[in-house]
Amino acid sequence: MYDPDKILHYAENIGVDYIDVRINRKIYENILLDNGVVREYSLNEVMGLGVRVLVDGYMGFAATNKPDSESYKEVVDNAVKAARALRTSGRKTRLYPRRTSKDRVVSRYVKDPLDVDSESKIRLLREIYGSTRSVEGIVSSTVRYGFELDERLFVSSWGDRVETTTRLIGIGVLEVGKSGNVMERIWDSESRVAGWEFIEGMDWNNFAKEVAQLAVEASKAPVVKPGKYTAILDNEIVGLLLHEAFGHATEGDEVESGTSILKDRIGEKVASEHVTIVDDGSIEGGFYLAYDDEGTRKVRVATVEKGVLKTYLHSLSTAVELGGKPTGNARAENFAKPILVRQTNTYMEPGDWSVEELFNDTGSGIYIRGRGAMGGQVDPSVGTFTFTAGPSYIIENGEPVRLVRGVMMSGMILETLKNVDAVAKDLVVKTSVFGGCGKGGQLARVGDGGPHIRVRGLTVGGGR
Amino acid sequence: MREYMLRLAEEFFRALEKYGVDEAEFYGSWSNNVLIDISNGRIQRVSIRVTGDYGLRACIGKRVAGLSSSNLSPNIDDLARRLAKIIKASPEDKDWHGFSKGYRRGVLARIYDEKLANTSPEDMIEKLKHYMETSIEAARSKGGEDVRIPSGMTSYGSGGLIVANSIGEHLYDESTSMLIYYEVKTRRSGGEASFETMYIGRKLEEDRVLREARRGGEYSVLFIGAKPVPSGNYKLLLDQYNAAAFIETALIPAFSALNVQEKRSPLRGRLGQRVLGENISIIDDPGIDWGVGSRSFDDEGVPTRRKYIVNNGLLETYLYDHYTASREGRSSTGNGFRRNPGSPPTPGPTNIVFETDKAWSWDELVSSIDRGLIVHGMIGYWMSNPVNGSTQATISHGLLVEKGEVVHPVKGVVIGGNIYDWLSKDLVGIGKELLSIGNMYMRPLLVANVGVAGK
Repeated sequence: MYDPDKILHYAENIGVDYIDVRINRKIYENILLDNGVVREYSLNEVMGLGVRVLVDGYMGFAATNKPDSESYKEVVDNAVKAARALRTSGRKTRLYPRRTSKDRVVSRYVKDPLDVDSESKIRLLREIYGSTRSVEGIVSSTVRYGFELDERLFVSSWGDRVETTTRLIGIGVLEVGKSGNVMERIWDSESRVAGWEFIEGMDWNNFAKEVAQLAVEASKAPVVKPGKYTAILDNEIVGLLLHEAFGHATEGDEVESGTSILKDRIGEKVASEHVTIVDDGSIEGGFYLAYDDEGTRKVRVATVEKGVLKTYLHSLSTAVELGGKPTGNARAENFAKPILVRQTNTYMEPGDWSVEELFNDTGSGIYIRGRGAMGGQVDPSVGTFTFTAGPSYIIENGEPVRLVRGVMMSGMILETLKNVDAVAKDLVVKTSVFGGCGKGGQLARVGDGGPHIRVRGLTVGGGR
Repeated sequence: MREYMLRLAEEFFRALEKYGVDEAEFYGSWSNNVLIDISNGRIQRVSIRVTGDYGLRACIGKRVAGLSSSNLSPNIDDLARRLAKIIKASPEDKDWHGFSKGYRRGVLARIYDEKLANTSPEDMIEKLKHYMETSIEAARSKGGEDVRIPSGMTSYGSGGLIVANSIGEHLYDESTSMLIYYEVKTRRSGGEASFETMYIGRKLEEDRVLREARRGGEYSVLFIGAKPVPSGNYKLLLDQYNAAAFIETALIPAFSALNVQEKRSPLRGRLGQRVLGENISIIDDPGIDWGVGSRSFDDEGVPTRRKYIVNNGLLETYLYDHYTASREGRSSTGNGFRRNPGSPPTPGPTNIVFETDKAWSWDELVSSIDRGLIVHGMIGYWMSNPVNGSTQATISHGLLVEKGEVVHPVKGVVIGGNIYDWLSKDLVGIGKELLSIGNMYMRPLLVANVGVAGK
């Protein structure tokens, strides 16, 4: 539909200093079975062209999905117009001069989900729904299937040409349990960068049943008593904590703007010595990102090593501005969105405690669980983070003994990581085809995780 | 683009007929948008986007499915064939009664501002600089020493939408939109705090934007030195912005007829009953000039109308789209809106207006607090739970009040409660000033018995 070479040629003829072209096609297949009825079966396709130019050092971006043969000229002209609008009051952008990238990468899969017939998918969802109906106390059950095919072509006037294709697939359930007048909902899902073989390899009936049972148990559970707790966080919650409470502050654009609490702190101790934090585009279980949307190869980066801040995550421009090297973290949701610095998979390196040792040593506190967690948010400017966990357990005598619901945690970014005093061995990283990270109006597929950890003095409260 | 989309719809309808489809519905939207990014006090990037996309839903008997695309030169026959295949694979929905018919407009409101649609990026940058300078001056006037605008963005432009069905009906509308957001960060005497300036509207309301700009600057100073308070029970005074955030997430989804029918709303079976305090009315009003949620027809071509959802505490109606209304043998309330062009519509609000017959001034509300927190900023409120009304958030910008006087700024404490308690037995007072926050027209709320987890 769009010829990238023609676009480069046109832009060079009108005198831009630099141009890159992103051509993107995404297909999202979504099936929603709501209390046994197919409420939604949709196939959504996004495709179009995004162009970024540098003119006299000013950066402009434009995008379109207009199909006519001359639309590429309009989009380049608009990008130039956007760059020129900055001449009186804008700031210049410099790009790190990395080596040219030429590659074609396809994520691993065996069976293309788009080749699997619709009847099989619906049959599976109905089976999963059926398995939750036997759970007493369930009043509403929703099963969702999601598959995303994401094809990206990046071409630039530096000679880059990178094509990537990623397949992400998963199933999720939303169960509402009721006990007396109290209703509680639990959403959980499993996703993988893979093909239909991932769906075939999972016991979804058991997965859904467990979620349904938890929803009913949670509706019977008391609300957590607000206060400060010694907390053991499970793998999922550790991922959320790192992504929200710390990862965003390492994003180069947040640092460059002055928003991040980690500005000018490279080499400083920002966490306890038990903490090593990694951003990795190819960890098992996470999202797969081989190249970013500036054609830079994604490299594994330890942002924190044994508590010391080592680097930020970079795009080509933040690497120049902040004196770092590109890390392959410049990402855009699709062709129509400008580049932001985003995390890929954020996780903590495992330590040497067994999970059992962690509980035995803790005595009393709270075991904060990720299943049913709704996500989190950080205010990087004041350093406050918060997130909502799933139903969790009060720990007594080294054992998780009593379920509580409505758990919301809060803390100050740097204080919390300094209060991590034990890290277990069991690393788990997860991604999701149903969500991701929101920033600047864009959604990015990410992954996160870690081992079980212990944090002292965590603030826990919540609704009723 | 209107003609192009209409032509596309007609071609799809013809192709679908060939594959045995009984009825179909087309939804198209497009936008011309300018995005201006701010970084470290300067304008960093301008983006100009011209995009369009569309969705198609169709049925055969009681089987229905949809697809959407932003491919504006599609292989129509191929897409029609794929959609028909998906429809045939879908099981029957016994509650399916076909698509909405009898398209027409309901209440009318002004939603297209020619001036905004024609504003150049250069002119908008100049305005934005003026607003940022206003914030910086406001912060300095309150004692701010080092004041900066680290990050932000402005997005504006025009767009249109069209709904059409296979019996030849269609409706079309155009609107403009404006979003300004930036953070003001201030240092004073070694301390530091920041506050967000935010404006959302259908045109650039200069007075309101300047008010927000001054508020952003002044509040960036006000919260320097914020600290947690001890855990316990407090009164909570939510300003309009934060009251709107809780109402929107914990209460409004419970009015959706789909959530009621699927047993995900605590308001199931409560029509005609008292569900909120008797001095509270909640109105869905699509006819407000320049309202972010103002519409003359919904995404199914159903005319919109003003209606009381809650009238003096009594639940008068749920919000219906065509599907949920058909299930109950009644008419849609004109509240069918789509998540994306290919999704089925689900019931949602237009503009929500929070009314009361007994209101207090802000100062009266503050002076009535013996021990409480004023909330001007919070994070994580969106994790409140509409299934049971549970409300929760972490305060990022709060003020401790004792005996009617502000004692010190507060941050990092978790507040929790339940929206139905807050709007009935725990409700102490409602503020006079009604303020638009996106599509919410909200008043301050003072509630008691709020659980606070602090130090």
